[in-house]
Amino acid sequence: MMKATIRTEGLTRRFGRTLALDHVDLAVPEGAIYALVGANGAGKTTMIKLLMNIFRPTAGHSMVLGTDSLCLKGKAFERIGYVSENQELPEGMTAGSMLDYFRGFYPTWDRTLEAQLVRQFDLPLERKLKHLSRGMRMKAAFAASLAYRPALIVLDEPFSGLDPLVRDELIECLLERAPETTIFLSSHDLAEIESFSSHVGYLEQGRLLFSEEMQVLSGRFREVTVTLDKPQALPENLPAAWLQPQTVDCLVRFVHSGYEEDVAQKELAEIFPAARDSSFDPMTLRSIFLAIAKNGRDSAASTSNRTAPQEARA
Amino acid sequence: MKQILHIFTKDVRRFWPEILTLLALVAAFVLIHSYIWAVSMRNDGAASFGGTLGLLTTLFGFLVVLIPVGWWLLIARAVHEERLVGDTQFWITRPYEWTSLLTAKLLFVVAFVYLPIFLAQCVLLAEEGFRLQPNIPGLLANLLIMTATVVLPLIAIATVTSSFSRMTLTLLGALLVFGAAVTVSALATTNQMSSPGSGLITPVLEIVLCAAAVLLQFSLRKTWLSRSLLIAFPVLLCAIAFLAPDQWMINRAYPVAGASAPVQFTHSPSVLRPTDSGSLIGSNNMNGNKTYRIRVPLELSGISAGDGIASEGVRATIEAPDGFHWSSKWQSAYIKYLPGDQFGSADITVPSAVYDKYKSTPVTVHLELAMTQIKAARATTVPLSQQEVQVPEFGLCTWVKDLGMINCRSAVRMPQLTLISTGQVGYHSQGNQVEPGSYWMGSLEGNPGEMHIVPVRDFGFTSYRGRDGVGGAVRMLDPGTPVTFTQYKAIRRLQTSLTIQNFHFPAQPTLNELRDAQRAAQ
Repeated sequence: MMKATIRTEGLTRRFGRTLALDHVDLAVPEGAIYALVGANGAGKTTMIKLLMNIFRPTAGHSMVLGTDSLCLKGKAFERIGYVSENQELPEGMTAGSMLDYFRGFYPTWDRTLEAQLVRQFDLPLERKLKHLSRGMRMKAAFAASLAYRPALIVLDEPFSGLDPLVRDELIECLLERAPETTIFLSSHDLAEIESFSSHVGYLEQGRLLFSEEMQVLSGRFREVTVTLDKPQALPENLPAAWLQPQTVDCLVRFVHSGYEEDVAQKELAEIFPAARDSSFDPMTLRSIFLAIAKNGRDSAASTSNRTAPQEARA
Repeated sequence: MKQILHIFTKDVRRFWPEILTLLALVAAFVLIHSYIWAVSMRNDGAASFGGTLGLLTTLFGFLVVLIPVGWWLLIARAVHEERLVGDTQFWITRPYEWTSLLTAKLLFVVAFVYLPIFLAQCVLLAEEGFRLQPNIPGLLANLLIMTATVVLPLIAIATVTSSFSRMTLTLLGALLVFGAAVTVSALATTNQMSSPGSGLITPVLEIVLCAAAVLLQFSLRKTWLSRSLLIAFPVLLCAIAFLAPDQWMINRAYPVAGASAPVQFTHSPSVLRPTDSGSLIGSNNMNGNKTYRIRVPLELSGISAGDGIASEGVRATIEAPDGFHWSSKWQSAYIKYLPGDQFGSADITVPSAVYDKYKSTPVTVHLELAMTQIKAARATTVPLSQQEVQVPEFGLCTWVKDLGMINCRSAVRMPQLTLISTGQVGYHSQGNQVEPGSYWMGSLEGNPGEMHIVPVRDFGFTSYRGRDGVGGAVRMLDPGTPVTFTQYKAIRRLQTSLTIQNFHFPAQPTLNELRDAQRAAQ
């Protein structure tokens, strides 16, 4: 069985009547760069705060580096680096004094790495954190969380609101650390994580729709375009893996979410025997998630359309 | 330990401006006190309060307020540096041990709140001529009281708030709620006297709830639970006031002595107007509720030689021939009977409705008296002198000849109950009660300390031989006149009672009688 750095089972969190996280089962393999994606309010931050023992779950449980996350405190954080977009830093300290201060907490603090990170990020050590730009503060937070070579780096929307240059610097730095650590990050910026994530999970309204290796995900999604002889209405009972099918004149377009070349060709020939041409184009992560998100919204809309008359009658 | 010192050192580096400001305030407090003291010594204890000295005295008064404000600021800054409210703080995902964090913050408070004021108090005591060693326990007791009343509540409020402004608002709200709770408690309490030990309820409750809130917040960061504990404080205070049976508390503090009472009280009307059973000594009209204060003369008997009685409370029950029955609440009494005293009194407050209805009808009055039997423990006689004299376990006293005053100072707290006697005429410097030849000072409570930033308690009384004729010149005491300080200790608290049949309410004095009384007073 694959060794998981993070594992959750039925992880659930409610805030009053709001179900922020709904029975999430997840496993992040050791050494992975796992990107947890989803729209705003999908439950990504809640998930991370549950893993970091900042929130307590309503149900289910999670293990982080072999420790129940409810027991995650004190020394356990010597092996975890956590950076969040809305994390408060000791604003009154200079970047240098913050690094000096944090150094005392970590037996594994690597001063050479610290110096390298300071150089790499061009950190102004003498300036107070409250006087630094957002990008510079995030760099300082990264330096303070990477210098002790943590076994797990947890990042909550780390690139949000940063300019592309800073983002690239931070990603580059993360990738340098990747061989020796597991990285778990949340983001809604799909284009960025696509370039370096090894695994991806998708949260929607608190539910984890899928969690798999990036390569597998990219492999099973294709944007399919079928050219017909003449315009034709969409047949009923299309395969469930076909997302958002639509026709425009002689063209049929849909997203195939379970693409396997041979099976897909055969399937297409059966449903559109008069097809003149067909293409299966690889999709970007952004296109995949847009398709999933739109499909989810359409499904929800059609469900509510179906139930509305009944509710009206009631 | 390493982590504790690491956090502590960081806090010192972070808050050095605040720390220096507070230390400067404490240093100014000591220096100004020294200056005022030196001037006062040069003037033989009679300091004049004009010019620079007046300004410094005012400044000293400000410092006594500013120093606790400094504590408030420093505690807020230290606790909020790693604030416990919220979920976005940097430190909650760092390897902080909550015990280390709490200890580091407490160490900070000890180093910059307790230590400076403790040292300042030591300097002040030494400067005013007190030996330090015997007063260390008292100073530490003062710090303990300071913890219960100021420091711990400030730490507790800081732990459940996220910023200084929120803490300030919460503190103001807490003061209002506490004030309301005390008012409600006072309304709920039927007694007008407090039983010994009842004053401990509030600080003990405060310490327990504040300490629980602080521990809970540091260990689990359960903010709402911690806040609930703090909110529970005024609620419990009111609940205790409503639920605690007053009679039970008084009976517990003053057990009913019954026949074995070491002292018996009987009604002694003979010294008054034959038609009255007592004398009307005052009236009060508060919020439309008019009351009369009636002095009931009593005679003591059976008390052992050398023992005295400190009467602390009285409760009266009046029964009229028509079946009317009225009972008062427990009312405070401050009458002391010296060894050998035979006559005394009990003052009771009666509503005008009762007085007016039965002023011409004999009634039965039942008096319950709560008291402490006291015994002279030590007597020290010193000659009146302008040189400072030390009275053991009391303090230091000086005779200010020009003012005809004996000024005394005691270290840390008011002294044990002491009778100061010159054998001449004495007037309390803070009151107008005339006790020829004697003056009571101190209390029987024996509190180990008092909540004061200034560790020296000043008090004094004028003492002179009398006047040349009515309203004539004051004749001062002569140097060398012996002054005796007799310290009394409590032997036991008890409750006794007496019933007075055919009690006649005293008539309201006529104008002539009032004039006579005024002349007699002169």
